[in-house]
Amino acid sequence: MNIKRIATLAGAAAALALASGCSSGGEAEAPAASIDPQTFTDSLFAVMSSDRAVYTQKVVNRLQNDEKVIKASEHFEDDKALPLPAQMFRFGSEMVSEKTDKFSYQLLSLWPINKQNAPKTDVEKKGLEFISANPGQNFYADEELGGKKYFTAVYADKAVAPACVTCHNGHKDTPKKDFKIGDTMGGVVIRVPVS
Amino acid sequence: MKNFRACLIMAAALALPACGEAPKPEAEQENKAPEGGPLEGYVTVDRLPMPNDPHLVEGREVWAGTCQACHGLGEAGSPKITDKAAWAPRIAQGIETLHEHALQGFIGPEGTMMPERGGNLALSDQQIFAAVDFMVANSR
Repeated sequence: MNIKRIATLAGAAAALALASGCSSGGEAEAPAASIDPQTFTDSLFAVMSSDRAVYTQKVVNRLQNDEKVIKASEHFEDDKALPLPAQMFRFGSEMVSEKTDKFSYQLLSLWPINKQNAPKTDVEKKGLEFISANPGQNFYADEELGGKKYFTAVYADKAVAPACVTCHNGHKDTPKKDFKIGDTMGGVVIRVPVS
Repeated sequence: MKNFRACLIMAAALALPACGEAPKPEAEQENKAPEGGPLEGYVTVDRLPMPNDPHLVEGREVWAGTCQACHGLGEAGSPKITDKAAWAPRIAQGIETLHEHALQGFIGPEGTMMPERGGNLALSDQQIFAAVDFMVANSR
């Protein structure tokens, strides 16, 4: 190997070292990722509602209504039955609230069987009224609670199965006894803290 | 002369089938689904043409009161009114099958559920069939 070639190789190696040194010595900061709150809540709702639909269709409808091998019941432990889809939804919401404070979600209603599931804030109430009056539309609002700012979305929850209306209409604690299939019975409220 | 006669016979032969063709039932000529896909958003009856056939007019009223809440949006996997693509395989099963599904209730192959009588037990069989016919007329 002659001097010229050694020099060329050394030069290339030095250039390489410089380049890698420049890039590694002060890590380039990843661009801040951002997602707008409405896209965030719409995406969360897409997952929640799909999971519930899968449970309703592939588990409850199939096994209870088609194969008739098990029932779904509010008192699923006593009855050795499947939880109702609305209960499955609530269990998920409770579990999420234990895992993260980046968002929360609840199933609320203007006519709840359990008073804990009534709207508590003006935005929740307005949102539930809006989705009842405007089928096919979601409700979005900014909210301030306890000095903190939130983005709050409300999505309609409809009676799609006879079990929804018969149970609610016949329940001893229901404030409304004339639900029918297709009615908006309540809403999914997703709340995201925003800076 | 021979050729002319042959032409006449051929013309008559061609014309005859047209004479013999039964006129399409009025229901089939009304309320075709819009071209270019289903209507956007919540489809309520006021967004659809008023039918002339009294049977479909009755169906329209029943549909608005019982079926629109789900089928106007495609809720819970239900086929949305005016959605030709969703309705084509269902229509292909025959109108009697669709009538029966609406009457008795039906669980689809993916587990989606059509409630018996659309969840409205007060409707007569005739009213249910009319609502189905109205929906089909607007979806093909």
